[in-house]
Amino acid sequence: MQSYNLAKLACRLFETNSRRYLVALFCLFCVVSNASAAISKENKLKAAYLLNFTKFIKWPTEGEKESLSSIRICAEESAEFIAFLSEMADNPIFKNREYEVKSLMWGTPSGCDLMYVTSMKNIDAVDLQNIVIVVNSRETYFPGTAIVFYEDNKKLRFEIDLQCINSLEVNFSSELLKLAKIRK
Amino acid sequence: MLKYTSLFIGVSCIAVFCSKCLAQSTPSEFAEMNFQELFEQSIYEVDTERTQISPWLFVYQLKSVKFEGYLDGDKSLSYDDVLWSGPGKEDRTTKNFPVVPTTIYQQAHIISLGYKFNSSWKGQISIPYLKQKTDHISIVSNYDFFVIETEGMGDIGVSTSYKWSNPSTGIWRFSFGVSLPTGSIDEVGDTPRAPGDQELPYTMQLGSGTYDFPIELSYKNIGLHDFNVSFSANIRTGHNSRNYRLGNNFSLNGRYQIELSPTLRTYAELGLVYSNDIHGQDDSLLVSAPIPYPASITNPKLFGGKKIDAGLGLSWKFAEDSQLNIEIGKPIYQNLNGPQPKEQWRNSISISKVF
Repeated sequence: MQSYNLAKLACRLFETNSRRYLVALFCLFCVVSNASAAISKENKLKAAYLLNFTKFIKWPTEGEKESLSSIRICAEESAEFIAFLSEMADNPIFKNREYEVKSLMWGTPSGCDLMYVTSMKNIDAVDLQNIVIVVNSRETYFPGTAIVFYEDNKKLRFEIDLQCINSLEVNFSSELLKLAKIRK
Repeated sequence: MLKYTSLFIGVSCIAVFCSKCLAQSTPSEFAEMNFQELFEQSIYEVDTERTQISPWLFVYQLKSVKFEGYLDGDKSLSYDDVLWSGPGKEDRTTKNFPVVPTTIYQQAHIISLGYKFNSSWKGQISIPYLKQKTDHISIVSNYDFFVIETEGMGDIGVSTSYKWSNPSTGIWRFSFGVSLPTGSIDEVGDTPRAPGDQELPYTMQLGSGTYDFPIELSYKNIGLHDFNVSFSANIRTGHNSRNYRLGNNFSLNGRYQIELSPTLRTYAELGLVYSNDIHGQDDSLLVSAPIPYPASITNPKLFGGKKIDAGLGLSWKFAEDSQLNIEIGKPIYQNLNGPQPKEQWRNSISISKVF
């Protein structure tokens, strides 16, 4: 039905005198209307992994009672990804903690507990103390990266840099380490 | 022809942009998965087994450029300076002409399809559809003011690029390709040269008529400040069937990007451009006179020169696999082999999508 309506709209556009300009607008319409449906399964899985990581990591700022803690996740990703991650974090399954999901702004990375990075940066890591940095693939370089996603036989896996997490004042649970490929 | 091109663009849009609407899963479904369940999930959509980081990239780009006014070197000329008044009123020289193009407007719809072979190698094919319109004034009776238009497919480009990077040196990319002579160089129209249709000047043709080789080397900084520098050239070879080849182009560009948000970037760029004049000559454009060029755009020596272009752009990644780019540019300095029409502005809008 959706395709039929789009085709009908396309035909109407071609009949007008200014069809070439309308075609460009139509393309824009198609693209924008499709944007909300455009989160790949791989990225949905990555979002799910990010939230699952937080269950097995303890930050120094957290109190004894986990219900009082709030985890700030900063993601260098699209608005759709942020919205998807936020909606996941609102699920009752993560009710033990409060989550704040926001777009990563390079000017203020120090306000994050977990940072999800998708592009190569060679910035000074001094300001990133105790931020658990997760990068989207092995092709993405970022100083101080703790967790790297990689693909193995069409499945998503992750590796943990042991040296890096030892330098953080963050406690990774042994259960999480067992699931990861360890980079020493 | 335009109708079919429009139809092709429209159908491509529907096929490419609206094909993924069906595959969707909810945030709560993913939230409820534990590590074991996540480990078992394929990164591909179950129904299609299609890779989500697809190697295919579709780009539609609309580019426009307008030329108006004249320059000889960097000196502005009026239309009166360039228009020859006629026998007995003014001496005819190599700098004045009985026919003067006043405004040239060119538009290109470009559809490109790219394929990423691996993390280093990419290939691309680009198909342009061009539309050009030139307003003229002349001293020829019945041609005081006239307009010539051409449109059709331009030269198809095929290129490949290789990328290499490391944290200390940044990202380097080298691309090279070939531009095939698929655009027409036999466009005709009604000019004051003779009754009926005649061969049109170089600026109104749709292709170069030669095999051309575009190359580019670019460097992108990896750091808190995003900038990149590129050198590009378009090297033309041989002569076409009308006994000329267009001039080679060389440009050096610098771009500085500011990240407004993870999905929105703005950039400013500066480019130095050098173009050669035309090599050879299309004799069908000449008239029988001591100075055989009826208009500046029929003289192959009055092409090329140096320019400094400034541009501003906005790049919006409105979905993880789709991007919109808008760019406006204007030369801030031009030194042309003139008299030659002066570029006023150029702009482009493009939409790209991985599918």
